[in-house]
Amino acid sequence: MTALPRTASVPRRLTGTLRENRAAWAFGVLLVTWIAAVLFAKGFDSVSSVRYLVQTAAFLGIVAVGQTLVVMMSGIDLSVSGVVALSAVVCAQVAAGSGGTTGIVVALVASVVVGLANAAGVTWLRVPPMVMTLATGTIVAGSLLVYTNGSPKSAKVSLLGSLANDRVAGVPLAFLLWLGITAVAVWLLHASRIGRYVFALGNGERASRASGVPLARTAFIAYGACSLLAGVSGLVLLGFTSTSSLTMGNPYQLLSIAAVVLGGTSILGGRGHVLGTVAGALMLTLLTALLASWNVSEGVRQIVLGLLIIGLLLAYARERRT
Amino acid sequence: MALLAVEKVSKSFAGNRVLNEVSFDVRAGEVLALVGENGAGKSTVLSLVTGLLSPDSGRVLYDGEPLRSWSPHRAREVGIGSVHQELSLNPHQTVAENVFLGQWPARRGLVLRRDLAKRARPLLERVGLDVDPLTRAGRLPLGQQQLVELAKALASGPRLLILDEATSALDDDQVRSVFAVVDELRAADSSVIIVSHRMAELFAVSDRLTVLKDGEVMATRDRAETDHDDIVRLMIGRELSDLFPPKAGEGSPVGAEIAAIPSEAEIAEEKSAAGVAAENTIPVLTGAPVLKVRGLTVPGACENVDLDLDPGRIIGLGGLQGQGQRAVLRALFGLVRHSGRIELDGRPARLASPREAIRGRIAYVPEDRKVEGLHVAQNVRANLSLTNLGVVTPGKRLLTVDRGAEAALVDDLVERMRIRVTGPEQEVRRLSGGNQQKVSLARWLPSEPRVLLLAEPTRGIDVGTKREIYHLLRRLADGGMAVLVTSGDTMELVGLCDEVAVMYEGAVVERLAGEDLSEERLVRASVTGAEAAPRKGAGTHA
Repeated sequence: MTALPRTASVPRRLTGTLRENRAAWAFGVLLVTWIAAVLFAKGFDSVSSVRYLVQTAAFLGIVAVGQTLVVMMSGIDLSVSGVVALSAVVCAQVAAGSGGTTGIVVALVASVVVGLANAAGVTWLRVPPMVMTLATGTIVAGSLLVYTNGSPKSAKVSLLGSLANDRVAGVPLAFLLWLGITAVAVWLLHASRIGRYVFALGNGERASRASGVPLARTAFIAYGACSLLAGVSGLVLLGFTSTSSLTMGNPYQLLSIAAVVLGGTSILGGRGHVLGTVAGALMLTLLTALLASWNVSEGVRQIVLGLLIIGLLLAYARERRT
Repeated sequence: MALLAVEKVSKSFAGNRVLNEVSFDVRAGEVLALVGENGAGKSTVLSLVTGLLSPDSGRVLYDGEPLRSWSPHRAREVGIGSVHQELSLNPHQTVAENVFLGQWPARRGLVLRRDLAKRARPLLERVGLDVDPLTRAGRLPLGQQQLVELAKALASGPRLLILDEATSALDDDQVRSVFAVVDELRAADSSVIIVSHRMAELFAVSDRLTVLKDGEVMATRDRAETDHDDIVRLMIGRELSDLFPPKAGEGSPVGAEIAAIPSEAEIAEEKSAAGVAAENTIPVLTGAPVLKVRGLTVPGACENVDLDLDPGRIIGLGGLQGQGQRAVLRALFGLVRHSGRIELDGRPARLASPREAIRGRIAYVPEDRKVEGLHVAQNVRANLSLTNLGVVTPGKRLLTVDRGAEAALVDDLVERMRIRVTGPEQEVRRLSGGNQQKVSLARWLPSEPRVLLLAEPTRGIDVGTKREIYHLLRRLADGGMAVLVTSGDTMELVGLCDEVAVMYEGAVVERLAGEDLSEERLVRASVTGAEAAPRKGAGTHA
């Protein structure tokens, strides 16, 4: 028997695929959470609430899509929090002197530079990704403190303001931007040649090397894209709040990783789908909003959020034993 | 009475029978040598005795008692000590700590370093080791570490000592110390089982020799009644059938243009064609070598290796295990740093990374399929297309993988290589070893490599698939590919290769081809290469 029996029991394959496909699970859990929110909490049943939800989810979502690229190749990027702040602070600072467009360009270039430094450290100096990105993130945070002298500027960049707050046919522009970015990431990770390299790396570096996978090129693209997207998110945040702060990126370090994992991507890499991350980011934003609506203190909110992340992970996104 | 009696012991791994009703015994005050080729079952037998494995059937009697619940810890308790080729020392702890590992003498729960050192000293003296017991073990040269292992085995006062290739890293003086210990144990009515590839050592120290082949005991001989040739004959004697294809210049290059595993009918056809061809001989392809290697050196692994890989020929790298064969292959694929001159098609080539090697159309099928050869957690499709993304991403659609082309490529390879899968989405780790090896080979075929490097191409594979792979390799060679194979299986090298370079301690010590390429010559060259080549402390120990 060398022919491929492709027709082998379609129903069983379908259920098998469903059980295996943790990205689909993520959307299921998101739906259940949303229904529960509508039923048991106030203010989640209106169009405007959904609109606000997807708009705020976009800030986290854009960072998380980038994080997915890195996690999928067995890496991790802990510098995203620093880069979000870097991009916003630099843009506000430069925009004050040289205008909005220059500010945006400089901010994005600075963001990408951090990503390239991460990739260089990971591939050439062979520093473990967790250590390398934590270090660059710390360096970025310190540099910002020096650069701004501790008091970052506020800035109104009209382009960013409309990007963050405007709507097209009732849909927030920030959400559309996020969807556009996701579409490109889906192509990159799941249809392009680079995507194949990313998945191969996530499944084993030695076998990838012996298969001729361009390790450096792949790492530079993944870390570069991740930092670029963190930078984009920082700009949208700047447009949303019109102010920049040194700590504005802090929540995104762990939340972006949580969104990736809750989206069904293996934290060890090589397994998952970008679309799952979209569900993960929406779910985390929904949970945060839900907790906020309960009027509990910030501390309690964080505790419950942490417990929920662990619970959801156990429910469907656990690493399987090999 | 026998101290240890192994009675009709059988053992299978995943349906592969590696031991078949093996029986032998070791008497008190006796040294028994276990002899056999790689894969004959020596290690498995020893694992049964030391309690690492338990037999499927049959039993092991120690001191007249059948041992059912066997474990390494219990084996040591009843007085079975062992020293293996692979070191089990903790490199960050001192020599003394290692010697008493797991049985540290403690005073009120405290291990006293000085105390430990004092107690280690006489044991170290016994094995002829003059080192400070407080040195970290990892700092000692390999040979001395091996002796620390021996001291560690002696620390529990064994009645049965197992030496499994324990002398492979030792120089002559050190080997003499080991043999002194063996004599001492024998005089004290203890027993020793010794495994070594060095015949001379076995004859120097053992009382009896038991020969294993393909998991069965061929014979047990008293030392006085046997000699080298007798033992070598017992080690290899078996029949070759059409397991192997005809060699270069003997067969007709039927169907050589398609790289596919031949069907039964085609194998028979090739065989009969070989008879005809023997009369009107087809000249061997004589082109310039595709890959010319001069003075290839990988520090610590191989030195000054010269090789000519000609299109149409299968070259083997033989010798005992771990003599640098693997390093040669890895260097030629750009996986390890190396020096020396390498010419690809007459032009100097720099093979600093696998990507450069692949660009020079060199392909490599590593021995470690699961870590280096394949992405076992990914499916067959992803594994087969990863090395062929250039083929399945047409330029017109910028860098996007063409799923249709990919599916066609995968279907074609699965069919040509007769890979048994439930479908292209099946994970590679769910395949049998033979089918994994086929995937590992198949993924290189579409890029039509000119040089194919294979390490242990049939290790852990059933005989049917072995035969398929041998015939495939010959077809590839007939199609103009140059093939380089390493193998610890002498039968495989002799049956498959046109020429075998025998390596010893990183150097090629002999080249065998044509009439000279026989199992007996090959084994002799591997072993006498071991005897002829100079060792650190010159002189013999016999």
